[in-house]
Amino acid sequence: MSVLAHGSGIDDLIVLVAAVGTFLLVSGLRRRRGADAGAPASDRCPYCDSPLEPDAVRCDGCGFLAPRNPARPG
Amino acid sequence: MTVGLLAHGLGGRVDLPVPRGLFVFGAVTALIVSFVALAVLWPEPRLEKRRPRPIRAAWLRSVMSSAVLGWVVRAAGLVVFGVTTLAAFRPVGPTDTIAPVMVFIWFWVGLAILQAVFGNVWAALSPWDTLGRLLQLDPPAYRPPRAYPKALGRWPAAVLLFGFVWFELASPLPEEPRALGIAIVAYTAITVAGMAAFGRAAWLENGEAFGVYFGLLGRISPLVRDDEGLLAIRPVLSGLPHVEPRPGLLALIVVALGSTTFDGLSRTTWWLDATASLTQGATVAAATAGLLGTILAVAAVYSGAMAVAAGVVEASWHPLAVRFAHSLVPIVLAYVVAHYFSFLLIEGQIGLNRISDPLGLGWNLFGTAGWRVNLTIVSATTTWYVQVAAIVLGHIGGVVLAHDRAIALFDRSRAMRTQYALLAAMVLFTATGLLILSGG
Repeated sequence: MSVLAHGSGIDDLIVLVAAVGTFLLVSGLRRRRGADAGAPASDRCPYCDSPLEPDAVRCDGCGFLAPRNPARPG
Repeated sequence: MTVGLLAHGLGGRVDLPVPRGLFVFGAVTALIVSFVALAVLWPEPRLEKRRPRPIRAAWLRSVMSSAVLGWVVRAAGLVVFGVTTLAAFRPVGPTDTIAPVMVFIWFWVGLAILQAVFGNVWAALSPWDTLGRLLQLDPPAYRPPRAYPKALGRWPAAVLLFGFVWFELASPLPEEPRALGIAIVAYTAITVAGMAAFGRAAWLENGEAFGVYFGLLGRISPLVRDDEGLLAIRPVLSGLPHVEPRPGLLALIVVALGSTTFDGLSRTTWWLDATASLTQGATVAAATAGLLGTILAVAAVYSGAMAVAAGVVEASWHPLAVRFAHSLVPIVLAYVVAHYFSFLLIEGQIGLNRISDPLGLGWNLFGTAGWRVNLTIVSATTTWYVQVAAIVLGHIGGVVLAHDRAIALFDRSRAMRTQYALLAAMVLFTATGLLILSGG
């Protein structure tokens, strides 16, 4: 409790972190299911939207790892 | 003058005209009102596809395209760099030469603000860029031994930026004579080696920490050089949606954000009391842990918000976090202004004095060697209001950019739902920033 007695803003911060954390948790629990309307198609890089080769490990456009292609074995 | 004069200023304690909580409440309210207003009044992406409009004044065109002027500016940058490096090796006190003021105040703080106002002036001034050009480390004159690995992305810049903020905020080295000089030479050696390995342009774009960092801040500015090198104008912030997603980009932004936050945190009475009785080694360890912890905390809050947003659209959180990373850049600027505004205006005056005697040899080159620091140039109350305004505007800028990106990526209803968690994170950042600033 000595932290809370300092009056340096930490006590306010703890309350705020708890409030925001609760909000995030509740938001996560309430996430809705449905079609992924806005997400990039699986043949495009989710980072930069460049077209991905079917066997690409990394995106040629941005260098991020390409998402695993479900059509690829393993 | 003592080392304390170069301690990073937060403007000191100020007797607030209303309770601190009310400022936080007002700032958070402004953020939420902005969020709602955007939802109602900003239905289509406006910043994503904006292109700069060239300024067609003939005289400006000839100035901007002047190769001679370009090299004059580069030469000036190189001279300042050379003098600063020489000064940094002088075995005298930190404020007896121009070096610490130049690096930690005029360069790190002043240039950051200049970039946001005038665009990427660092690209024209960078001594490392100039060195690379003088050494002709560009194709076709030079063939780099290897192509820059795309998988590395901006990671070298992120790691080097962390090295700089650790040096400044956690290590005892800035108070050691010559340490700054050694650091400048070491960083220059790394940069030249990087340019030699991958070519000038590739290394400056990915590995030169200050170039990448200042380049991001320059995208806030309404001024930019277009593809033909001419001055062009664009809406404020509209350069940021064009930041290319690259590995390490998010890390670099989080390092910038977390390190400034830690600088503020380390000046609170809570931190000072907790570390007052530690030995120097333990103090460095605590500061290193605090710096890393703050950066990780910022990353965790942002990643958590993005994970919630990703849940809304059933996508992976990491690509989403990268695609929204540019929305944190105005907050980086806000923290720089809020934390260092008074530091720049007050301690920055030491540079006016030292510029006439940059090496501490008793010279008076420009007649300013007798300049006395005016401590009343800005009051604590003014500083506080600037801090509040910077924090609020920076976060509103972040909310605007995130909203614009969300409605560009998703249908409107989903776009709004992805933003709730990010708004919560922005609220947390805003309140934390104000509480830290007012708790010094």
